[in-house]
This record gives sequence, structure tokens and C-alpha cells, in this order.
Amino acid sequence: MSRVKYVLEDKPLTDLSRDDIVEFSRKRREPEWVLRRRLEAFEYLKTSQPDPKIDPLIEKVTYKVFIEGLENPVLPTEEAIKAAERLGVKPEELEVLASGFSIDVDNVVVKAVLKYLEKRGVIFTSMDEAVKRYPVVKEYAFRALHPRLNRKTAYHVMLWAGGPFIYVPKGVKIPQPLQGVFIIGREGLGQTEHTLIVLEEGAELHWIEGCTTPIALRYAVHLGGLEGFVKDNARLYVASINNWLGEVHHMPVKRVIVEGDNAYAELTSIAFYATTANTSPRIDLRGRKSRGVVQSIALYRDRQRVYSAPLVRYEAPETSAQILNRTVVRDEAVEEFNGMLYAARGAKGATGFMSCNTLVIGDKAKSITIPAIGTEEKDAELSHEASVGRISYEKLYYLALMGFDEDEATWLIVNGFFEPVINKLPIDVQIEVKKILELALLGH
Amino acid sequence: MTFEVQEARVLTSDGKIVVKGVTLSLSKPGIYAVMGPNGAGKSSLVNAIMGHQQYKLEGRVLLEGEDITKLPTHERARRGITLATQMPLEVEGVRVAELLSRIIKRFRGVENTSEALSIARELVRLVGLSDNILSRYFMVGMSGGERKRLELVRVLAQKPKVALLDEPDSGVDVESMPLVAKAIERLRDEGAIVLLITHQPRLFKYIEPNYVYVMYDGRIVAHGGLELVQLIEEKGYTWIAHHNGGR
Repeated sequence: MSRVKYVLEDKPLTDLSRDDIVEFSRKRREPEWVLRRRLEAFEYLKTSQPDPKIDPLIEKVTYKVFIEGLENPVLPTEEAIKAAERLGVKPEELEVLASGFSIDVDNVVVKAVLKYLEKRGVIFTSMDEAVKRYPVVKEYAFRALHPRLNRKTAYHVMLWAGGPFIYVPKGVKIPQPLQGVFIIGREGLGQTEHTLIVLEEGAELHWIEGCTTPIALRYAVHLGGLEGFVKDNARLYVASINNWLGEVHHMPVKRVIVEGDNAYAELTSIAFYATTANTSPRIDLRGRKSRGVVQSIALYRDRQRVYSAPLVRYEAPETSAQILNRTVVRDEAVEEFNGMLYAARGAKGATGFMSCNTLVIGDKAKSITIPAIGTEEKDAELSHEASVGRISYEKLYYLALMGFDEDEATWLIVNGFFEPVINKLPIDVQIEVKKILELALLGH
Repeated sequence: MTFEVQEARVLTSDGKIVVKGVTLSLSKPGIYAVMGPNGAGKSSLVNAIMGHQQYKLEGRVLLEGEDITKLPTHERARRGITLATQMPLEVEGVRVAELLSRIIKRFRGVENTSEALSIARELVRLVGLSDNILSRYFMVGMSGGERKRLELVRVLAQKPKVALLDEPDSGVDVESMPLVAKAIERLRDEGAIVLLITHQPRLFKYIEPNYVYVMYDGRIVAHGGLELVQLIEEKGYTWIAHHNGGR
């Protein structure tokens, strides 16, 4: 009975006990190794200092609300369909979606695609199932996002639920992007999905994930996680599209380890309108001549706060990387950017470039940009540039001569500002992103 | 179609009077040249007509009888008046095709994007630009001559009732001059009143204005036919201003 009491008790997530975690894992019928990872995270949280950017937000969510959220997935309701459309997902594609908890597949085309993938040895299933069924998961899960990486990751590992597992065997290139949508349908800690991607030698995958809410929420936290492993000559492209309504605190954890030689990983983030966003995507380049790109576009308004700290860590010779960040802040929104390129010992001949550009609309919006570069190798060539610009009256006047009012002109300018990142995405994603951007600038 | 400027006085934001009472009344499609030396107030006048915040316009501007003086710039444009600026601005990250197709859809009543693009293609070809320009970002990295011609394409895309062209010939090489002229003729042929501002008569080798106004020190000091252009070449603006020639 006491176990039931834990579930119903309204205690903050920051006050969970070891028994709560054990109970949580048992109820989900997880293997022992998963529980051990959760408990490692729990111990780390107990022994490390609270993070003022993280803990106060998680503290506001209670265990009861969290559990209720997990037990009531929202797909595929009418509202969820509308929410998915806000991410550019067509209704007929909705059945493709890996929700936080399961993969719902009724669509004939999707079934055929999945069958095709299955025949080639691709595994595309939910993490909840994968931890029980596939030994390969144990080999990789929570290795990049390990429980002691930092507090945000520790919270994620302790509380993760759902998300997809994607395994692409040697030499298999998946021609069409796979897509998942994670929807926060209730107040509280709406999403802690964990995405695990493993690409074997020469494999290729485009993974597009969308996160949103069907209705404006009073309070929600998104603490999703993604970890990836990329082997020799493999190529991984991840695009995350987030478009939030209401008070949503977006704090995903992402890390891809490019283990193979000549391998490539690209993390693209497209984010609109979280109340606060705390993002720290990371790529570790461990294979010789491996390459990585971390890029983002983001739009924030009102009194929203965004903190982004992308990191690329070079650990192998002749590796190269780019960090590209383009953010628009308007009204009283504030952006803080702390990107970093770091060449560790052994990263001989590493090259990299970081570019951070912010467009500030209005007098009260702010941008604080502190790019950082570090190297332990003399011949590493790393550089950065940063700029903060405003939309000039002359530009608005010029577009007004063409009949564009201020909102339309601003949309065009913002769209153009994001273009260098958007134009590198697959064409269908580009179209979707532009649609979302237009909706986002019109205030949903 | 009528376009009237009644007793326009234009003040800059620091209170300087740059246009000292200009009246124009045009009712037929055609090319109306406004000539004058640098500093005569020509650019200030057309920018004030379009509602640039740097200028305060006293007097009235009527388009088809409607006073547009208090309207925001985009509303003036939507009613059918626009300006080809002297120095077109870059719109980074926005492709020529996208911008033109949005304009064409709005002003030419075209719903279909491919139809809009085919009009855009025809217009860029008219001014001797290659189709490739459609995939470039608007004005970004273009030469002065390309910008001037593309600006005219943009104005043409709007199919305006009144086109104010602020020195469309400046910075244009000799070979491109006939193409600029072609675009201006096309505007006229599509029914626009074209107010063509220039300070040198070289464009008139290729097009003949219906009427010529000479502006000097903020005022129209002379007006007449093409013979006025001849007089400008022979005597210069100052002489005309002081002799009130052509009236």
C-alpha cells in the first residue's frame, strides 16, 4: 500500500526518495541495469550542488502530476493532431509517430516502410520495449548521457520514460527521414522521452523529432534526452523542432558520440517560444577525420529566457566541426549564448568555426554572447564570430514600399536571417520549418 | 487614373525645408520626368510622398481622389503607388523568386506560385537579367547595374498605378541603359503614371518623356516638353532656374 501512497503523494520531483525510484522502475518492469542507471542518477543528484537554472523548475512538478502524465498519453486525439500540425506533420503522417510511450502504427504506407526497414535489420521501436528486448541497448544506453554528466542529465536519466530506439545496421542508408513527435498533453513534467540512436559502419539516418503541446499549458517542463553513436563512415542527421504554447520550460539533453573514422553527425535545433530554454547539445568527435555540426535557430518573445551552450569536443586527429547559432529575440526576451569548441589532447589538426548571430527586435530584448574556444593541441585551428543586429527602419520602409506591413516584413527578415541554417536541411523539412515559422510569428 | 500632389512642402526631421511647395496634377499614363541638380529636393519629395519617417510632408497627395497622406507606407503601396529607390537594400536570406512571387500574388491577383514565378521570369528577362537571379538572395552581392534593374522588376511586379522612379539610370552602364528604358516603357504600357527622377538626360536617348519638370532648390522652376531637356543640356539647371526657362 505504501507504494500506492508514493504515487499519489504530491511531493516535488526534487524530493523523491530512493524507494520512489525503485518503485517507478519496478512498475515499468524494467531490467535491473536500467534501475541501476536511475539510482546512479539519483545518488548524483543527492551529492551534487543544485543548479539554479534547473532545480527550481523541476521542483515545481510533483510526482503525482508526473505519473499521471505518463499514464495518460495524448495521441492520437484531435488536439494532438492539431499540435502535430503545428510542427508541420501532416495528419496522415501522424500514425507514424513514436509517441512518448509507444509507436502507433495503423497507416498502410508506414507499415510498409517499417517492414522494409525491419528486413534490413533496422530496429525502430520504443525505448520502453527496447530495454527489455534488445541486449544492444544495454551496451549504449546512458553511455553518452551518463547519469553523472551533469544535473540536467541526471534528472533525465532518473525520470526518463518512452522515446524511440533506432538501430541502423552496417551499410544501411535510410532514404526517408524517420520522424517522431513528442507531445506534452498535461501540466507538469510532460516529456522525459529518451531517444537512443546507434548507426553502424556506413549507415545513414535522418531523424526528425518534434515537440509541442496541444494546448497552452499553465506549467510544464520538457526534459527529453537524445544520445547517439556513429560508427565509421556513418552519417547521422538529427533535426529537433520545438514549438511551445503556454509556460513550458524546455531543457533537453543531447549528446552524440562520433566514434568512427570519417563519420558525421549533425544536430539541428529549431525552437520557438519556450518560457525558458536551457539547451546544451554536444558532439564528441572521437573518430579520425570525423565531423560534426551543431546548429540552431530559435525565436523567443515576451519575457522568455534562453540559455544555449552547444559544445563540440574534439578528441581525434583531423576532426572538424561547426557551431552555427541564429536567434531572434523580441519584446523583453533575453538570450545567453555560451557555445564552445574544445580540442582535447590528441585532436591534432582539428579545425572548427563557431558563428553566433542574434537579431534583436525592439528596445528591451537582449542578447549576451560569450563564445569560447579551448585547445590542448597547438595546431588546432578554431575560430568564432558573433554579431548582434537589429531590424532597421530603412529595411522596414523598403519592404513597405513593396506592400508588406510591419509583421510581414519582420517575418521576411527573420525568415531570411534563419535561411543559412534552414537551407541545409532536407527539402521537406525546410518547407515544414518555414510553415511553422510563419505560424510562430503570427503568434500561433 | 489621377495623381495629384498639392502644395507639397517637405521638412526633414531636423526642421529643414527641402521641398518648398510643389504641385503636380497627372491624369494620364505616361512618363513624366522630374529633372534637377543634386540637392534640388527630388528624392526628398518622392520619399515624403511614400511616407518615409524622416520627412514631414505638408500639403496633400491624392491617388484617384483619395488623400493618402496619412496612410502608412505599406497601405500607400497597396493602393498602387510605389517607389524604386535610388539605393535598393539587400534582403538577406530571401530569394528573389520568393519575394517577387509574394508581390506578384498580391498585386497581380495570381494565386498559383508557378504562374507567379513565370511572370517573375518574364520580367527579369525583360531587363536583361538571367533566370539565375531568381535563386539568388534579393540584391545580395549584386552589382549596381543588376540592383537597379532588379529594382525596376520589383516595381513592375507590383503593377503600380503610380511609379516613382528615383534615378533608375544612375550607376547603370551604357549597355544596360536601353533595358532600363524598356522596363520604364513597360510600366507606362501597363497603365502607370511614371514619375521619373533623374539629373541627367542620357536616358532620353531611349525613351521620350511625355512631359518634363525641372526642380531646383525645392521648387518646380520650369516645365515643358522634350525641348526643355535640350535646354538643360545647353544651359544647365542654374541658368534655367534663374531665367524661368521653358514656362
